[in-house]
Amino acid sequence: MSNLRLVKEFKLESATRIFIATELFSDEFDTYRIEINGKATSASNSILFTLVNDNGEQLGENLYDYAYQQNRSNQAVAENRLQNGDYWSVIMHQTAVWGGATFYLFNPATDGRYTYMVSDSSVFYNAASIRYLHNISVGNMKNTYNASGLKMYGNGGSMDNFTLRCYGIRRD
Amino acid sequence: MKLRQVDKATASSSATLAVNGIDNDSVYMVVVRDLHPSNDNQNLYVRVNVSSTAKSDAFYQESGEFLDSTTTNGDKHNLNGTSFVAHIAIGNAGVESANGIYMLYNFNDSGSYSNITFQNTDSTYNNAVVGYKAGGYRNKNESNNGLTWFFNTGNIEYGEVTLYEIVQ
Repeated sequence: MSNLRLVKEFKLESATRIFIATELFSDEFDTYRIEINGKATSASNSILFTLVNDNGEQLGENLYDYAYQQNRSNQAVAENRLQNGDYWSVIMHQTAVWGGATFYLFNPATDGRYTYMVSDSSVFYNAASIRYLHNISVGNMKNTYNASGLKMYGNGGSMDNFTLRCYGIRRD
Repeated sequence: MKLRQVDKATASSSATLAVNGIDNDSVYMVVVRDLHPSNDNQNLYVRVNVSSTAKSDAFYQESGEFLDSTTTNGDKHNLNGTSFVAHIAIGNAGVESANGIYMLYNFNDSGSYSNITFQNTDSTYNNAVVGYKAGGYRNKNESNNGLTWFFNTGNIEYGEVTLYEIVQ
């Protein structure tokens, strides 16, 4: 059996601004691979992520750090960062069509450890000045909460159609 | 993608940590999780192994981008180094640690260079999250069967590394 185990899959086929996926993380795994395959959206600017508990409630405020770099097809490279924020900003895009992202999460449900995130995403960006974004991101959440899942939300508009798969990386 | 666990090493106030067992031409993946230094503000170095012994000669080449939650991102280049400098300025306050996913290419082939990519996310001594998105290679034709980690001073107090083969 593969050490990469599918934990859960979600398919979103109707527009929503906030999507919450619980029962992704447990003490069975310490490291997770999350694949998001986005097909349609009306969200603009960015999709933000937080960790949630079993009830889907956000874990932590002013505890999320991140940094990203955007490699753009029509412009110079851009970057951004946030220290002690309320979310990770990982996927940037603007309307119509988006793309995909792969995350690795470390320790989201491991006792007594911070959670760490690293991701790559590839998206169409519907602005003539940019067109395409390759976004590389890192982040952590500076508390030792045991998380159950993720909340994703567009900071404008909705996410309309995507698949999220969460895999645990088994360590024997 | 399917993974087969090849080796695992768990630190306990360890000077070095190593995984071995690369013995075919598959692509391999390493999960680095929770490596915590005994001393503050430590770089975490990585060397390739030949017959399970770390190589310290100056054949390590790398370049990449540091992403930093507190300041401008930075490029990094390392030519003819004696190791890969894979994680920078790791803190030892609380549960700060080094974490990452490495992909290993051509490690087993004695007639080509071993290549590596890094996707790292770490807590630094100044309470930032810093990532390293990078790649490197060792410009020496040799067969490498694993990797060895060490901080520039002190020990790896805890944490673990796991080596997987990506199988069909």
